Amino acid sequence: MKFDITKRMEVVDRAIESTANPLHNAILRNYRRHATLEVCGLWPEILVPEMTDENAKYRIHRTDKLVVANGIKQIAEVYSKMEETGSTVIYHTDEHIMVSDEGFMSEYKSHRFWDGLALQSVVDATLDPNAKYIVSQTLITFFTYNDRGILTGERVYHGTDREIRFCEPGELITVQECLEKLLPNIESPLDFALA
Amino acid sequence: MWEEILVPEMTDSHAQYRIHDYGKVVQADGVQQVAEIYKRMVNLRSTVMHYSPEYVTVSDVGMMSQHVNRRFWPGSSLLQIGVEVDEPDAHYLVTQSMCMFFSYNEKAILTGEFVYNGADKKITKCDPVEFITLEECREKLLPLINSIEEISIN
Repeated sequence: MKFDITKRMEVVDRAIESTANPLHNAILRNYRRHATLEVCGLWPEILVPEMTDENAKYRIHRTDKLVVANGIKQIAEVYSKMEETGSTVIYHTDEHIMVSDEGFMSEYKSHRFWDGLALQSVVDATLDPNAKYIVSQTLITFFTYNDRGILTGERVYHGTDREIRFCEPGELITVQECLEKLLPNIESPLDFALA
Repeated sequence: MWEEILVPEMTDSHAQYRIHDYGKVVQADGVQQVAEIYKRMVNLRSTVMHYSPEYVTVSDVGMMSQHVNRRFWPGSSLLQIGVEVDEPDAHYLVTQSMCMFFSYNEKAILTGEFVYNGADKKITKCDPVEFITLEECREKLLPLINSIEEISIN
């Protein structure tokens, strides 16, 4: 059954509604905009001073290696690679999110759409290069923010329970669909900027 | 003293543990299987660890923590689990980033541990002055520990 992409952040939406602390609220809303831009392939808009500190650090603990990016130039390369592999569309299920003055932590099951051709080179050469696949995996993340609610770092840990399954054509969610359904409701950084 | 963790006042009998560690996930469903994980830690004499720096957040569903874990291992135990070290009789410090989610029910009883080991594990020989023994932990920590009655919710 096709997932409704407009419900990809329902847990985060509820957390925002129930979070009165201004810094915590700004952190969660920065994250919601960040994640929406990422899914829509609009990552350059994440790496602006109103959203992300220029010295932000990313540490992505994959099951086979640690990906390190220091500063937004190196981080841009991480996003460029996602875009090149056509794998920016992701939705989460079974999510738990918690926020504090330092940032937020979230654990969830990630479901990410991949082109078979791109997945062949990184995971399994026997996959059909012309098919679409859904890669499901648990993840836990810690995103750090400064006292103005600006992102200073991402620490991402991939679970070792990855499952790859063929994506039925009716299940596929395209970047175009994300752009059409998610962008009309996205907040601007001004909406959650702290005074 | 892990047996005291797995009592109904602390841990639900159906608690689930999922430990993600490089190409494998260790799964334990229920306190009997969870006990096997703790027994293995004791048998390998690798229960002493400390965290720094640590960030922790809490909500109604549990707590999450991100930290650098520093865990003491006898060289012989590392060899036993397939890690090559020079001196079986020496102690080693295994340093690794970790992030975890511990879930709790509405009575604050543990229902699950979801632990993710980072891909930055480093193993160094432990300077003898750095070494912390189990006995030292018992002497210094047990006098400070809360009783179950102190943390229980009526």
